[in-house]
Parts: sequence; C-alpha cells; structure tokens
Amino acid sequence: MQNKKVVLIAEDEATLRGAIKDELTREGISVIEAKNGEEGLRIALSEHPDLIMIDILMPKMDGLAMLKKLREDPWGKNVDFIILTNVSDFDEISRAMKVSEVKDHESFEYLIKSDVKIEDVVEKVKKKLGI
Amino acid sequence: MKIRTKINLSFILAFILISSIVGAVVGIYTTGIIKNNVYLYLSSGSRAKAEHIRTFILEQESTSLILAAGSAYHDFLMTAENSIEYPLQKEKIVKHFKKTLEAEPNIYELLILDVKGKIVAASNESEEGIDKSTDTFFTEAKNGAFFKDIYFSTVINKVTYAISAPIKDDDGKFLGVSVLRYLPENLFSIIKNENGLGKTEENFLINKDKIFISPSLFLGDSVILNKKIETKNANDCFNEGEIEYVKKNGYVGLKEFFNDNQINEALDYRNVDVIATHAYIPETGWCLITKADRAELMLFRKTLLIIFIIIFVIASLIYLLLSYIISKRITKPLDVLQIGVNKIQMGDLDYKVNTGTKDEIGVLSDSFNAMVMAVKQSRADIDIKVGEQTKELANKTEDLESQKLAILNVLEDVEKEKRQVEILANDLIKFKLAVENTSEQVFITDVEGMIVYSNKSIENITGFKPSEALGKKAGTLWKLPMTLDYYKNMWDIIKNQKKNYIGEIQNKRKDGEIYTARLNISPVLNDKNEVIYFVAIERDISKEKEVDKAKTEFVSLASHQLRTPLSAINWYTEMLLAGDAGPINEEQKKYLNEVATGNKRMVALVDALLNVSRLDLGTFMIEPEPVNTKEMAKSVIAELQPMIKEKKIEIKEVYGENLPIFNADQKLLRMVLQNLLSNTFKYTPALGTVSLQMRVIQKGEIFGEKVLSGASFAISVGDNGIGIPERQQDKIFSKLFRADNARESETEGTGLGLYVIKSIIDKSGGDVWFKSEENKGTTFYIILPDSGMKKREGTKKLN
Repeated sequence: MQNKKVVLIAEDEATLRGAIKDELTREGISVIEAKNGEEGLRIALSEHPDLIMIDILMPKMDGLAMLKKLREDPWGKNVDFIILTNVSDFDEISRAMKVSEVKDHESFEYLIKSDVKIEDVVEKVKKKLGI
Repeated sequence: MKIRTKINLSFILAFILISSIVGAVVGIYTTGIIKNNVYLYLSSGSRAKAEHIRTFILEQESTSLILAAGSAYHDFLMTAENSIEYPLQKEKIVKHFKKTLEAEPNIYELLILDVKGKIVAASNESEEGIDKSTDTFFTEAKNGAFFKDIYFSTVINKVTYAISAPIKDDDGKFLGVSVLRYLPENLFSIIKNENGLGKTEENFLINKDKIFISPSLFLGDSVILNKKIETKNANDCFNEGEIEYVKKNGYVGLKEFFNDNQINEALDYRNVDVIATHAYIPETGWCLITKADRAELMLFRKTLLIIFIIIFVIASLIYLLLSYIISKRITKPLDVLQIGVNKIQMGDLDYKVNTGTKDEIGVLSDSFNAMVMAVKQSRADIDIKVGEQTKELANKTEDLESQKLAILNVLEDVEKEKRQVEILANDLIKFKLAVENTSEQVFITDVEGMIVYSNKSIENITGFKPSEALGKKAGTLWKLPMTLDYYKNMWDIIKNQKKNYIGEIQNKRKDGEIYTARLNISPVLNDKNEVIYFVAIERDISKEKEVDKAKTEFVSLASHQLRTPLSAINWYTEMLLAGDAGPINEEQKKYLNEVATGNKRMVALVDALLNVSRLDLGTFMIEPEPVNTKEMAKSVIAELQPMIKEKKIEIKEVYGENLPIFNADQKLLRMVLQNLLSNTFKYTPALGTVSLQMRVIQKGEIFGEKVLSGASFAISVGDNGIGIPERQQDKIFSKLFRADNARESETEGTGLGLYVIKSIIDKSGGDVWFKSEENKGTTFYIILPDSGMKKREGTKKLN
C-alpha cells in the first residue's frame, strides 16, 4: 500500500480549513493544518507535505511571505502548492507567481474560495497529487 | 537750325554780302560816273554858254567895228554940221541906224560920237547932243574896239553895256566913235537855264568885280550891279592861270590842263551847298557861273538808291525763292531721312529710308538703314536678354516680395509678441508668485538633473531648503530609493523620448522618511529639439496614498471578511448535498439548494459591491493591452452557453472586417461584455434573438443614432426582450437599480451591472447608451476610442 499523501493547509479561517480537511480526508488524503504562515512554514519544513495549500491573507505571516521563505529551503524549492485566496487580487497573485519562481504557469495554481466548489478543490488537489 | 534754313540763310547772307559789295561798288562807281557826268555837263554847259557869250560879244564887237568902219559913219562924220549935206547925211545915218537896228535887234541903240565926244547921232534922237566925252566908251575907243562893261546908264536909265569902235578916216585919223548899246537881256537869254540839270540850275554872269550882271534865279533882277559874290567858284574863275589859259586857248583842253573840271562843291551866295563851275569870258572879263544845288544834283543818288533797293528786293526775293528751291532739293533727302528716323524711333525697325539720291545724304541713309538693321538685331538680342533678366528679376522680386511679406509678417509677429511679452511679463510676476507659493513642489533642472530652481514647497515636502537644493542633482538629494530600472525608464522617457513622465515615485526626505509623490516631469526643448531643461512638479501623495491604501485595504478586508463565511456556507452546503454527512431526503435537498442559491447570490452581490466600491473609490486601474476582441466576445458567449441553450436564444454575431486588435484592459472589457451579454440573455424570453456587433466606426458616421466625433471601436448588443420602461430609462445606469419589469421577470440580478459598465466605459474614455422600448427590445451601444481604453493609474483591479 502506497503512502498516504500529505497535504498541508495553511488557512486562518477554521471553518474553511475544516471543510477542506473533511473532504480531503474522505478521499483518503492525510491533512495537516496550520492557522498562520509562521506555523505553516514550521510544519511544512518539518513534515515535508506533498502539497501545501496556502491562504494568502493570514496573520503573523501571510501566505506569500511563507512561500518565499519556503522557496529558500532546498526542499521547499520544489514543493507543490496551491494558493488559496478570497480576493481576486491580481497584484497579490502575480507577486505570488514571482515569489514562487514557478517556471511554467501550469504548476501555479490558485483557487478563489468564494467562487470555487468544494469538489473542485478536491479535484485540483487530487490532480496535483497525481491521484 | 535746320540745314535748309542754314542754306537759306547762307545764301541770303552771301547775297546780301555780295549785293552790298556790288551795290556799294556800283553805287560808288555810278555815283562817281554820274557825278562826273554832272560835272561834265555843268562845266561843258558852262563853257558852251560862255563860248556863246564870247561869240556873241565878239560878233557884237565886229558889228561895231564894221559899223564904225562903214562909209555911212565915215561920211557922216566927215560932213560938217553946218554943211548942206549934213541933213542928208544925217538922214542916211538915221536910215542906217534903222536898218542896222532892224538887222540887229540885239542892239539897243546906236550912237555916233564926234571927235569931241558929243553924240552927234543916236538912234534915240533924244540923246543927241549929249556930251559923252568922259565916257569910257569914248575915251577908250580911240584906238580900237572897246567893250564897256555892264553899267547902269543914267542916260537911258537902264542897265546896259556898250561896245564902241573908233571911226577913222582913210588916213586913219580919228573922227569919232561908234557906240552900240546893248541890253544885257540878250545875254540873259543865252545863259538861261535849260533845266538840263534840274530846277536849281542857274547860270549867271559876274563882272570882274564879282558883281552880278545877270539876274539870279533865286534873287531875281535886283542883284544886277548890286550883289557881290565871294564864292570859291567865283574866285577860282578869276584865277590868273585860268584867265591866261582861256585867253590863249579858249576852253579846249581846259580840263586836261587844269586836271579837273573846275567843279566846285561849296556854298553859293545863298549859303546853299551847290556844285558850281565857272567859265571866264576874256573878251568881257566876265565870269559865267553855272551852278546847281548839290541836293538836286545828288538827287539822282537817292533815285539810284531807291532803284537799287527795289532791284535788291526783287533780286533777293528771286534769290530767296531760288535758294529755297535749291535748299529744299538738297535737303529733301534729309527730310526723307528725318521721317525715316522718326518712324524708326517710333519703333518701326523694319522701315527703310529711301532718299532716292546717290549723294552724301543717300549714302548716309543707306548707312543708317544698315545701322537700323543692326540695332534691330541687337534689340532683338537685348529683348531676349532683357526678357530673361526680367524673368530673373521678377523671380527675385517675387522672392523679395515674399521675403518682404515674410519679414513683415515676422515683424507683425514680433510686434504681437512684444505686446504679448509685455502682457506676459506682468503675468509672469503673478505666475512666479503662484509657482513660488504653490503647495506642490516645483523645480527646474538642467539636462543632467541639476537643480537650477526650486520653489518654497521643496522644503515642506523634502525638508531641503531651495538654497540647499540649488546646484545639486535631484537624485543626490532624494537618495533614489526606487529601482534602477525605474530611473532608467524615467530618464529614457524624458531625455531620449523627450516626453512627459507622469508617475509615482518614492523619495527620501531630508530626515530619511520615504514619501510617495506624484511626479510630473516635462522636458523643455529648444528650437533644435534639444532638451535644455526639465520642469518637475511633485505632489506629496503619501497621505493620499495612505488613504487609498486604507480604502483599498478596507475593501480587501471587507471583501475577505464577507467572503469567508460565504465560502464556508457554500462548501458545507455542498458537502451536505453531496451526502458527505449522510444521505439526505428530497426535501432536505430542496432546502439545501435554496441555501446554496441564496449563498451564490450573496457571493455575486459581494463581488459586485466590491467592484462598485472600487469604482466609487476610484481606485481601480485600467491597463490596456492588445486584446482580440472577437475572441473575447466569443469566449464570453461560450461561458453563457448554458443560459443560451436553455432559453433557446438565437444569437447573431457580426464582427466587422479588419476588426483590429484593440487596446483594452482585458479584465474590464471582459467584465463589460459579460455584464452586457448576461443582461441581454437574462431579459430576453425564450426563443428570442440577440445580436452582437463589433466593429470600427469612422468619425462622422452614425452609430446608435449618434454621430461619432471620432473613430471608435463600437459594440452593440441588441435583443427583442422585455425592454426598459420609458419612465425608468433615466435611472437604468444607477447603482442597484432594477426596472420593475426586470424585477418581475428575473429574481436574480444585482442592479449593479450597468453601473459597473458605465463606470468602466466612462473612465476608459468611451460612451455607453441604449435604445429601448418595453416589450419590444433593447439595444445597448458602447463606443471606445479606437486608440484604445485610456490607461488609468489605480491601486486595484476590479474583480
């Protein structure tokens, strides 16, 4: 039996975090949570998840800062991630793109929470994980 | 003076000269001759008359002698008075006397005187017996004839002269004297003037005492034996030499002998100028004076002169005529030439002078003709040259004129400018004050960015005083906190592209604080298009920025805060509907669907509100980029396909030819199209028709019943839907407004769509309007400048 995929959700809104966690768990994906960027960074570096879902607007350290820090880590450089946001703030997103140093745009994924269905979220995650 | 006149004059002058000379010569000569003739006539006349008198006297003397020698006289005197024969003899003498007197009427009386001198016989018997013994005619007659010069005889009471002769007997013994008395009247008739020389000619006799013995023509008889004359002429007459000659030779050769005519021109006894001559009569010792008034004699000279003048006049007239004719003939060719010259002068260069003569004038006119031809030729050449030069000149003149105009215009402009400058100078002071005092920072730098001027506000904003800033580079002062690229770009725009740079910049104040400024740099170019200055205006927008930032953050925050719960509701509802929490019944499903729907509406509303808030705040930006509008339209329609399919709406798409790639903000244009099309489909009932048009419209064309003032990218979306009630049309673009019929037909709808479209389009430099009729349909028209949507700086994009 292959290892369970681990997904880290860094999101300050508990309800949303909970919803995604429930759904992903139902799919057989292991989920670890962080409620802010600082925690997220710490957990990411220690747990080395297969995928990180990063909310942009978070206290203590926002998603982009966390991403930037991640990328400084040799492991973090290559980790997959999905950006979560509620605002279609393209400035933020394009900055995120720059920060992520993603070469091809296909790898750069972002989801607008208010617009997206939960099942689409799950789909995206599964796709990213190669499930 | 004309030649002809010259010729005429010369002719006349010559004529006058010659005729004067000739006239003078002839005059003098003729005068001389005539004078000579007159003299001759005078003198010869005089001599002739003198000769006549001589002869006359001589005859009378011989008569006297003859008588004296006659026997009658002899016999008478031989007879004694007392003899018987005496009366007979006396009788014979008386008869003799009578016969003699008859034969000789000149004799006045005859006297016989005896030896004692007593008149023994007289033709005038009364005189017999008078003793005349003392009388010279007795005393002087004893030996020979004796002429007794004219005297006044008291015996006869007359002027007389006598010639006596001695009577002698055969032995020669003196017996007595015969005396013949004559009256001088005989002489007078001899010497009478024959008017040969004129009225003033007179001849008179003077005796040896120079006393008149004949009457004077002018003074009459009274001069006889009374008047003495002392004229030269008279004196000359008694010149001894002349007397001697005449005594010897008579008058013959007198002239030659004396070498003149014995003409005297002198004053006569009247003191009148006369020409006189004389002739001596030796027998009597008289002098015959012949004279005539000089004036009268010389009268001929006047006549001569008159004749001469008449001849002269006639001659000169003839001469004039001749000279006129001749000169005319000579000068006629000149006239021909003159006419020719005139004609040629008038410009007729082809005229040929033909004088018809071969003389010098003819030659001259030939040469003249040749010259005229040459002139004509050269004239033609000159004309051409002149023509060319005139053209050049005209051109130059034109140029000059244009230059002149240009200069005048320039001068005008200069004048205007001067006036304007004066006005401006005044304005300049005000302007300077304004610039100095404006709250915005104004500074001027040279081409390298060195500050040459800054206003007071530089201190307020940057903390540096104007004096500190002067001469420093702007960058040095404000520490250039921006990226190198930013400055590179800025400099490129202002220095290389020489365009205005408008943008935001962050600078450092003197105290190190960074502030954001709105920067406007304008390059100032000289006439060679070189940058000489930069004028920079900075406005500290830090506060604005902060406010904006706050607003934006608020909106972001608000949207985030609003959306988060909505997301949660959405997902959990979804999960419930998916049965993740367990199976649900139909009714639960139905209710959960309602929740989901409501949630979706809420999300849409929040999105719309966010956009509206951004629109209201004016914080949204427009970033135009080349957009394939056709593709975008198609993609938007594709998104809406579910609705189209469900309602079975027919959609017609018309895309203009050559629809260009349009400069538009992708998001915003898409939003406009989305709103527009979703509205259309929403409010068009099933089986309706929607038409979309996209094309470029030219300036002046009519689009949507409006004449476009510029070339535009035009979109029109039309339907045959519910339309907009007329009374509500004016509110249709208002925020959150939904028309009544819209509310009724479709519950979903934020009322924000058109507001958003309008705001976007307005801010993009375009226009949106519509035409609608309730229950018939609506058509929306949108135009944007064909150059693209206007770029707009902003802080946020719209959702």
